[in-house]
Amino acid sequence: MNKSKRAKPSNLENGVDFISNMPDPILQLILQGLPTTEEVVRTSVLSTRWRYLWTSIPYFPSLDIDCYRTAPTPSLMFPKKKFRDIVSWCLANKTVDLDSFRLCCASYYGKSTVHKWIEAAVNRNVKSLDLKFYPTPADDDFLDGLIAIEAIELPEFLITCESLESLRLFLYQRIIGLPRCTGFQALRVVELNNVYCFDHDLVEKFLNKCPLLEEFSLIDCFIRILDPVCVSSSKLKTLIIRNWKNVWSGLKLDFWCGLKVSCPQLVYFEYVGRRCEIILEDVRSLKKAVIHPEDLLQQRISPTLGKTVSMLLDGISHVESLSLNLYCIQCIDAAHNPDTDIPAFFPKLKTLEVTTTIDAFTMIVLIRILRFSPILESLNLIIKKEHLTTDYWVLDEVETRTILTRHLKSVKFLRTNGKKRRLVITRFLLEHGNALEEIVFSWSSKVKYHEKSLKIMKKLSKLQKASSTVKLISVLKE
Amino acid sequence: MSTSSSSSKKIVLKSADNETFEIDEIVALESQAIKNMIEDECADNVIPLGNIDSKTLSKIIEYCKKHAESPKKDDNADIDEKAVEDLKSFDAEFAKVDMPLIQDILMAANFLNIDNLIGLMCRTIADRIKGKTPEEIRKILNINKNDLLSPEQEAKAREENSWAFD
Repeated sequence: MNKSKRAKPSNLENGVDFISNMPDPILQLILQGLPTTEEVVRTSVLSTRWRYLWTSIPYFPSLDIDCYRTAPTPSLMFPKKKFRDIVSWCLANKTVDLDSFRLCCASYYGKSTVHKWIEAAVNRNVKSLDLKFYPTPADDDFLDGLIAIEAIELPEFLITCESLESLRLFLYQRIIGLPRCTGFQALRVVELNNVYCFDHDLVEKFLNKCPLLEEFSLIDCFIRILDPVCVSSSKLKTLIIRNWKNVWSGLKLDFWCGLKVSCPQLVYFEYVGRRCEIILEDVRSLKKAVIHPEDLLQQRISPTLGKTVSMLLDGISHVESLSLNLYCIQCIDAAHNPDTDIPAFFPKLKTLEVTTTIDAFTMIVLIRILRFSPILESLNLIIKKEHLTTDYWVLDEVETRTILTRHLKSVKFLRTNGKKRRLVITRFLLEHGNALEEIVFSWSSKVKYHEKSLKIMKKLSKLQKASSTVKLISVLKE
Repeated sequence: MSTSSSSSKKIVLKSADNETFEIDEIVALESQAIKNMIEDECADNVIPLGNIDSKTLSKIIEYCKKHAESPKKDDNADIDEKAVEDLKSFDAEFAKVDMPLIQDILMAANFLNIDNLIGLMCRTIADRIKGKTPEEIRKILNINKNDLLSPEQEAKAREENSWAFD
């Protein structure tokens, strides 16, 4: 910037405290733009001008108050009364609507206090609620291990709140109790986090109460493995299930039936976590699927299990984007006869993301999937271990070449670490991929990026290339 | 200066350093203050803006032009999503300037009463001080050192709202 062109020296350069000379409404607007409520309050020590400014904000358009943030190690020293006063003060006596209210108060307050706050937010027509709490347990509801005894009842005024569009609950492994009333008329987004779904049809009950629900996430929730969770909703577009934990872990089941999905409008489906059987009854609109089952015990994968996974993929073979992890690849491999058991065809698949090792077994699976994806444009690889020789990658070389030369436009190596052997694949791709537009190396380690990126790019630029326009890109993504 | 037809009415703005800017009236109307002047018929051919320098003024005109061209929210309930996105990315780019200029623009926008621009500048300032310590914020905003709280006052302020301080 050419400062000499300035007509007059700027206020800041002049040493004038320009901002404090602005009228109150302007400073209040700035305060309202701060993301958390503590930050707003902390401006009280900036200067005498700012000392009481925050108390005159006409309203907080959104509130974000978190006891863990204010007291990183919750202890007896937590200023319980002051925290309560401020939450009440921020919520109370304001006629303006509240956009969003996020409150984390752990177990510091009893049910009646928390309910009072929720009610205050509801009375201000809150649109988005994000609550992380469990009421201080009374002496007689002693918690035995994971099994919580008393449910956290959602108050009726929350269910009937007509403004509520988004609800996130983090309930410290407690049970939710739902009142019988109908409601949640405007609710579009629900996330249940750390909720103990002991009541096996909790999910169904919840969904039944939300006629307009579009996005549903279950994160770190506890379920009973004997009953599959049914997600059935006519409007749902996004379904995310991450890391659910089962309750009866003593039972030995190879592959328990965990989830039934029947959502004709579903566009995005993500399952990450403990392996279970997923039955997709109706997902005709699905465009993107992330299937990352895990088995922490690393039990042997039976051919039956392999077939189950293959069938699951068959049911979503109309997606445009698919992400699979190594466990999926191993299951397909275990199905023994990849020729018949792999989904016949991915006619619409444009983007495939795979976490995999590179060895003869996984490569057979991967190359078959590529072969059955006639319009695939992008392949994103996260390579876990490298037992790599060219033989593995080129298995059935003529065919591999055809796949690559047809339409593959982009190959990305995600979380790359710059191991030399990965270059073998890159060399092969460069030599044969004549539709290739880019090869991207995405680094997760800053140190390795600085150490190796330049060297690798130099080396690659010298290689022979089938496509004259292919770009080699190296980026740091922490 | 203008891209639209020459027949539309022009307004001339004059900066503190005597540079003149000829703009379409529709662009000038983004400023509530100028709008009032025109409606009250107390605007001469040239509107002098004695407290706004030419650099700040040209930024403000750039902003008003873009926003005058874009469809207004209240005109049509379901306006083109692309236009909204376009305006958003324009605003984001527009705000990528240094703090002195942001403050000059904010002061001028306040004087000219351009609501959207005031909001944009306030959000930008909030973005730059969020997550920062009071000491850092004082530096970023160049808060007057003579105006600081005494150690006793500061201790009292922290005590009053101890839940908000680490």
